[in-house]
Amino acid sequence: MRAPISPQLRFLLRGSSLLLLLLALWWWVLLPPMLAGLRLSTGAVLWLLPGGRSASGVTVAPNGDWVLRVPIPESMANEDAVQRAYRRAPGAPRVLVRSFKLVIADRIPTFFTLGFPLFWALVLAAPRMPRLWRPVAGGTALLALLAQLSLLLYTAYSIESTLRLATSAAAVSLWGAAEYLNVNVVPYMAPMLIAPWLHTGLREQIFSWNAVATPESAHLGEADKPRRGRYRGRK
Amino acid sequence: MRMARFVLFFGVSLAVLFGLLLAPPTQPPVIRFTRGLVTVSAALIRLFGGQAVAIGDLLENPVNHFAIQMAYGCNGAHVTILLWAAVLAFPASWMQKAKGLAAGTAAIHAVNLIRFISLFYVGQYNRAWFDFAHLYLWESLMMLDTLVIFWTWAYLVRKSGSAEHASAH
Repeated sequence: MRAPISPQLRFLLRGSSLLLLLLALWWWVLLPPMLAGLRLSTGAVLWLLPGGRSASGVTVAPNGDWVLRVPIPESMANEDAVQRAYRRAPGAPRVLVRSFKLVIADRIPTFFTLGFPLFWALVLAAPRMPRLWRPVAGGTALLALLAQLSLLLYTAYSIESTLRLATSAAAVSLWGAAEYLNVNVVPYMAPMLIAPWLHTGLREQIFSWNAVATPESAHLGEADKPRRGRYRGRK
Repeated sequence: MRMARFVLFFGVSLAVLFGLLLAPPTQPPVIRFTRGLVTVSAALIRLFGGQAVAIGDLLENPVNHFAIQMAYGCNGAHVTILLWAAVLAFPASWMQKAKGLAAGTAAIHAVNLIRFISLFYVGQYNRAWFDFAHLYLWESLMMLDTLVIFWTWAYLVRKSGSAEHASAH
C-alpha cells in the first residue's frame, strides 16, 4: 500500500511541474503580448504626465531594448543638477529640456512579468476551490498593476541616478534600496504573498490556526469540500 | 484577528530584515558568507569527481575557465528573509521558532547549493539555458520551496500543539 502523500509534498510536486509548464508557456507564447501590453500602458502613463502630449513615447530598439522618452516638468528641468547633466556652461542661458531619453535593457520589463507564471502555478497547485477564476483573475490584475508600477519606479530610479537629483546620502541610499528590492525581490516575492492572500483554500491549509485535524474530527473548510458529482479523491 | 496580527508582524519583520540586509555594516559578513557558499560548492563538486575552484565569489572550472559569480542576491538571502519573517510572525513558542529558523535556513541553503552547482554545469553547456534557469526558473522554484518549508513547519507546530492539547486532557 502506498503511503499517503502529504499536502505539502503534493503542493510542491504539483507547483514545480506547473511552474515548469507555465514558465515555458510564458517564455514562448505569452511574453511578447505581455510586453506589448506593458509598453502600451507605459506609453499611456507617460502621455498623461505633464508635457507628455508633446514629448513622450516608448519604442523598441533593434536589439530589443526599450527606449523611453520621459517628459520632464519645467520645474525639474530648470534644476541645477539637470542643467549640469545637460552640460550647460557657466553663464550660458538655460538648456531647454523637455524630455529624457532612457534606454532600458529588455530583461528589466521581462522581469516584471515573471510574477504571472509563478502566481498561476501556485494557485493551480493549491487545493481545488469553487470559483477559482476569481483569485486567478484578481491576482493577475494585481500583478499587471504591480508590473506597471515597478517599471515606472525603475524609470524614476534610472532618471534619478543619471541626473543625480538626490542631494543627501540618505536619499541616494533609499533610492538604491528601492531599486534593489524592485528588481531583485518584488517580482519573485509578490506572487508568493498574493497567492495565499487571494486563494482561501491555500490560505486555510497553510494558516489553519486551529490544531491539525485528526481523522475522526476532520473538518473540511468550505474551499475543500468536494463538489457533488465531481469528487475524484482517494478514500 | 490572528491573521491580521500575522500580516502586521510579517510586514514589520520583512522590512526590518531587508533593512538589515541592505545596511552597510552587514555587507562584509554577507560577502564572507557568500564566499563561503562558493567554497562549499567547489568542495562538493570536487567530492563528486568534478573540477571546480573557488576564487572569492567566483566558481571556476580550471579546465575550460568557465566561471559563474554568486552575486549578492544569489546567496539565498532573500528567501531566507522571507522564511524568517513568516516564522517570526507565526504564533509559536520561541523554541519552535528557533527550530524552524535553523531547519528552514538549512533546507533553503541546501537547495541553493544544488541550484548554484546545477547552474555551474548548465552554464558550461548552454548560455541561453543558463540565463533562463538562473533568472527565471531557479528563483521561482526557490520561492516555491520556501513556501513549502514554512507550510511544513507551521503544520508541525500545529500538530505538536494539538498533541500537547490532547495529552493535557
